[in-house]
Amino acid sequence: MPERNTGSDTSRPTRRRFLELLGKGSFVAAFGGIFTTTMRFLMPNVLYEPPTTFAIGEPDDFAPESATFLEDGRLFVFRRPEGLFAISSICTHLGCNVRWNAERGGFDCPCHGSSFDKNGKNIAGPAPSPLKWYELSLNADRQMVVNTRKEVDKNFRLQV
Amino acid sequence: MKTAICISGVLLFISFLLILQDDFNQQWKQVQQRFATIDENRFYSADGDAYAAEPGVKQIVVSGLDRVDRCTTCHLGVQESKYAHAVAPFTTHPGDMLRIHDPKEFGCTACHLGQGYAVSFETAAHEKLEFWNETMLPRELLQATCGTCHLSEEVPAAPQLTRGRLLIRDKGCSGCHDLNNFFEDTPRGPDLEGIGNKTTPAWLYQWLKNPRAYLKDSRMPAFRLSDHEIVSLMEFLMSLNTKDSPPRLIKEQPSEEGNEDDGGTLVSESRCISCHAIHGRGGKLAPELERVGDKVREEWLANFLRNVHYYQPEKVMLEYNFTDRNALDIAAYVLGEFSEEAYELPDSVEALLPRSESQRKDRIEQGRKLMAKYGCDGCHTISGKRLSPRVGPKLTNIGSRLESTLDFGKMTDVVPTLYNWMYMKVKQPAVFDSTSIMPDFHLTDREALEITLALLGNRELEYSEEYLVRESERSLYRKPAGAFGELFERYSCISCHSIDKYGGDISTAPLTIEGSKVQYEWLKDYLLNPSAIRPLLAERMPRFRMTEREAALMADYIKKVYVSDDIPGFFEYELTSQSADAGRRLFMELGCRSCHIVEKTGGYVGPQLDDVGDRLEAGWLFSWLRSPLTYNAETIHPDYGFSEEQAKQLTAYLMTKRGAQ
Amino acid sequence: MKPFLETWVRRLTAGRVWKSFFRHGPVNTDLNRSLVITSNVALHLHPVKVRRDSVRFWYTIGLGGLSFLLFLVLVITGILLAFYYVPSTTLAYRSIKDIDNVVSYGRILRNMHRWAAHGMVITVVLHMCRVFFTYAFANPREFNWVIGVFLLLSTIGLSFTGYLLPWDQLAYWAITVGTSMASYAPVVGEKIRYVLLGGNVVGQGALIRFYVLHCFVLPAAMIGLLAVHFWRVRKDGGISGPQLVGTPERETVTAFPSKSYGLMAIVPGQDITAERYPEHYVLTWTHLIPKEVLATIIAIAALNLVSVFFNAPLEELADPRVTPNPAKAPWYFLGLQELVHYSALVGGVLLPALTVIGLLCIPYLDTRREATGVWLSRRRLVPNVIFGLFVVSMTVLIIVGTFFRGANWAFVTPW
Repeated sequence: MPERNTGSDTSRPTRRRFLELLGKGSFVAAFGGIFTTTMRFLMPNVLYEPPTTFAIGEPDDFAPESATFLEDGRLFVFRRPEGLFAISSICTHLGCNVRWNAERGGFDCPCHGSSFDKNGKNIAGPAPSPLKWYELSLNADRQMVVNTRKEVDKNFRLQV
Repeated sequence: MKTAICISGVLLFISFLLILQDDFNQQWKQVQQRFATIDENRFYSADGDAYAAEPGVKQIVVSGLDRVDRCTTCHLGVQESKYAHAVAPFTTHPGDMLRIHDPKEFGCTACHLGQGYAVSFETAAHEKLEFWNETMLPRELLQATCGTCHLSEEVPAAPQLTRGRLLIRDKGCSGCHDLNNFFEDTPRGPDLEGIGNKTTPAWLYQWLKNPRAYLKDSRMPAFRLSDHEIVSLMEFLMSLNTKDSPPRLIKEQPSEEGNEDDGGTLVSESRCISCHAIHGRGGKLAPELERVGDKVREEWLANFLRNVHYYQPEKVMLEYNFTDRNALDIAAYVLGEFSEEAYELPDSVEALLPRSESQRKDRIEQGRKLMAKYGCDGCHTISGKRLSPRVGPKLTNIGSRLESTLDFGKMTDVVPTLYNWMYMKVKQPAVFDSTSIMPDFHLTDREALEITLALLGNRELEYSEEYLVRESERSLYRKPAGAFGELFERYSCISCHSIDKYGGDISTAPLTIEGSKVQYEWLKDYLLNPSAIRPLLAERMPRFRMTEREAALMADYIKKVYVSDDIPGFFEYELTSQSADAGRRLFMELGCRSCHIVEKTGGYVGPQLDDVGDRLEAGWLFSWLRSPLTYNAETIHPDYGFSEEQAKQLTAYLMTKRGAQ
Repeated sequence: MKPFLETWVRRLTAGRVWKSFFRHGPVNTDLNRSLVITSNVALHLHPVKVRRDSVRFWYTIGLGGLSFLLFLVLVITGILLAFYYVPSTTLAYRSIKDIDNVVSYGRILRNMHRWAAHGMVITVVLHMCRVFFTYAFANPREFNWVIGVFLLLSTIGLSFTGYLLPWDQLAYWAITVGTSMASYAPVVGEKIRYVLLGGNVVGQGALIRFYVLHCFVLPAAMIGLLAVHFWRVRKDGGISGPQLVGTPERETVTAFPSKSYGLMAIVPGQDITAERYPEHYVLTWTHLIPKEVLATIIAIAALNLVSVFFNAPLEELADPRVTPNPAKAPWYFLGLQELVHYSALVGGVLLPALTVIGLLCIPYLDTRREATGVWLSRRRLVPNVIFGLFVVSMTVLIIVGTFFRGANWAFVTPW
């Protein structure tokens, strides 16, 4: 006797189970939808940050053998006989602005005491890596242009 | 219940799918994918953030213009010449405007308009978009936005804008509308005091009815006036007849009739035709004289000619030093010669005329009110005064007018953009509202477009000062002072001659460097008794009847002040008779005589040269021959590229051409 | 695979950690269906058992719950939008443009916030009508009606303050007109406007005030009032319903008078009577929760769809020099604006004041105590007709003000 009912008994629960699964699945998916949209929403597509490429003036604005701190660009510009180069002032430890120590010929970070040599190599303190070197170039108006997205090595010099 | 929950759960899921696809299928993402297929390098990184190497929304933030432009999200090739022939929207920006206006500093929408915030074709307002006022400008109106920053009257790189602004000044728009201060606020029509002495009611009637019936390119626009209004205005104007005692005026009725024949001689001698057209020939500076005999009264004209600047304080026409007799002769000649038939009032208007003195007074009072209502005094002062403030709305910010506040009246089939509204309004002022008091200026399509364009640029936006160009991009002209200044004004030199690009363009000889060009003796004689240098031109220097002393003073001043350091003085001492012979050979070889008359034969295109040695300075001839375009950008004189030696030879030859020969 | 999964599920649910979260077993017996409620925070909202009459859909039409749901949606979307919104006259409009154009899903979230806000004003008003027409504010629920009136005012206040934030022409002039209506009040009117705007004109001062009201003050008030509102519903033995058939005078069983053993025991009154009429009571878990879930899903799905296809309005940047013609207040004030058109005193002062005072007084004036829990009972014809006329006339005025008023407030037809 039980065998006879098998067909109808199993088919109904299956349909119901499917519907139930579909319902539950939809819930999970809907909550997934809420989560992804929210996360995506919180990631901005446009920024109003300062440009990563900007002009900093003509080479002759920088005196020979000088180290100039540019606040807006957060970088140091050095002029040496071999040419000009730019080193980031952002400490690789936690992002404070480092200071140029003229006596020692190196950089010191005021926040947590990291020290860097004249090429920006980390020599003491918690900083994990050397300061970044940015690419310098000349544009058509003979203005020097810094591109903070392009890192260069410490042999880089802009000849003028 | 469970089933219902499951089904609605699926519905919820679908609704979330719809939301998810909204971000995935954004139009700009598809456009950038298409760009990747036309260029394997895809998002090249030029030196700007607007073209960062990664795909994504690009934007140019221009804080000085208060703009954020994301146009380059789709228009990826605007600044790279290699996309000159790419499909839209990747095409390179045409022309070299981007070299003067770097998009990094100016963005896109400051010039083109449209919605910079948006990243889809529709929302960027390429076409009319609801609630976005700056619909992208069509190509024909592109120069409008130049005018928002370029605040001096003339903008050489934007000829349409410049023409529009000059039209606005010429049409006297500022008489009724407050415009930006660079549009001169001088009255454009004559002062009306004394008009009752000048003309007749019949002429006034038809003039007010339709100025173009009398003068086909009249500057006065047509006001849609009823006969009632016209009669009131007419009575008011005819009552302005008090200006009857100017100094040196012929007071009584002319005691003797003028002599028409003498008048005719005087008219042609005075070169009236240089400024006034007669029967379609002649200058355009002053009114056409074809039917002036049907307009003015004879005694008024005689008085006017005796003392032009009394009637015309703005001194456009020069003072001729006519005697009473001369003036009567000319008036007689003009009245006889330049008339067709006398104007008469139609009977229907005749019936409206006041019957009693009190009626007349009412009419006059009404006329005065109408004068103020229609803003006639915007162009015509009365004894130098205005009756009322400007009657039209202020237009200094018209370009930012909200499109949603525009009233298109019954015109429902127009795309409701500001520029459409303005174009239709200036073309046909009553188009949206038949009660509008703005008169009809009979503008051509092109004029209407250029005026629309110039007005569209009038926007008071919060642009930073560094973007605004205020200083004039044109003239350094200063009105001359002293005794010369007085004469200069008396003879209205600036009406025909230009100085430092300012002034009239009737004369082909700007005065800027005239002193380096002509010789003193010749100049003095020419001022006393002008002769025709270019026989073909209708516009010639008039006879001023000035005294010898005046001519000497003017010539002296011009020789000393209007000179250029680039033109060598004392040049004739370098010239020799051998080089003059070589110059003659060169002159004949080049066929200069096809345009210039020398030794009594030659063409009429250029000035005759038989007395050029008396007329021009050797230094000028030399400089001119070396580089004609330097001194006149529009000259048709060929630049033969003469060497210094050749130019010297030709100069030496020409300097031998003296009147004595 | 399957036994493996089941084993792990069993192990997880049997574990101590799980048990610390959920104190009831699998929800398959009536005991556990009760425990789901009593052992969870849900007890603050719902009792274990509810009256059968009160869960009938057509009795409440879910309007109160819907209002609360929309409030939750508004809180969540509002918090998200606040991450991008900048309350400054120079940046507000730009930040809204950014949300609409370049923030992923920003446009849809803003639409949801906008449409849910309008929706909430409507559901709250309809909820109030439902309560009136079923005479649900009768003793002992008079004070909850009063709380409800304040909730209505908070809702309108939230909507009104939110109106200004986009800083477009619509916002600017709606607030200018709306706050000017307030200034018609005698003596204090000008002061109210001055305080509200933080100045004499709508400017940066007004924007930051409306922002603070919209994001902090009014939501806090709303949440406080909601807590009392819900607590009162529970205290008064759930929502109203018709008199139980054959029920004699209400009795209070004083159980455990000297000691309290739990929440159930110290709550006197109707929770106990519930046990006396078992045939009138059903389990919350099986009869109410599914309906609420279903209503939630349908409401959110509908809101999603509306928000995908219909954009919230954003007009031109606010320009104090250019007044749109006509300048209209937010739609729920257009009835008043219409009246202001005829009489500033009536539309701006008398009617709003009388409405609020009248609404507050209703439960204390209308105390016939019969036909509670019955829709549009004949025995309450007079109050029902009066209230109905009031609601209909306000609706008609709003419709006229919204659709039939054009430039210079002249009568126009919308077609």
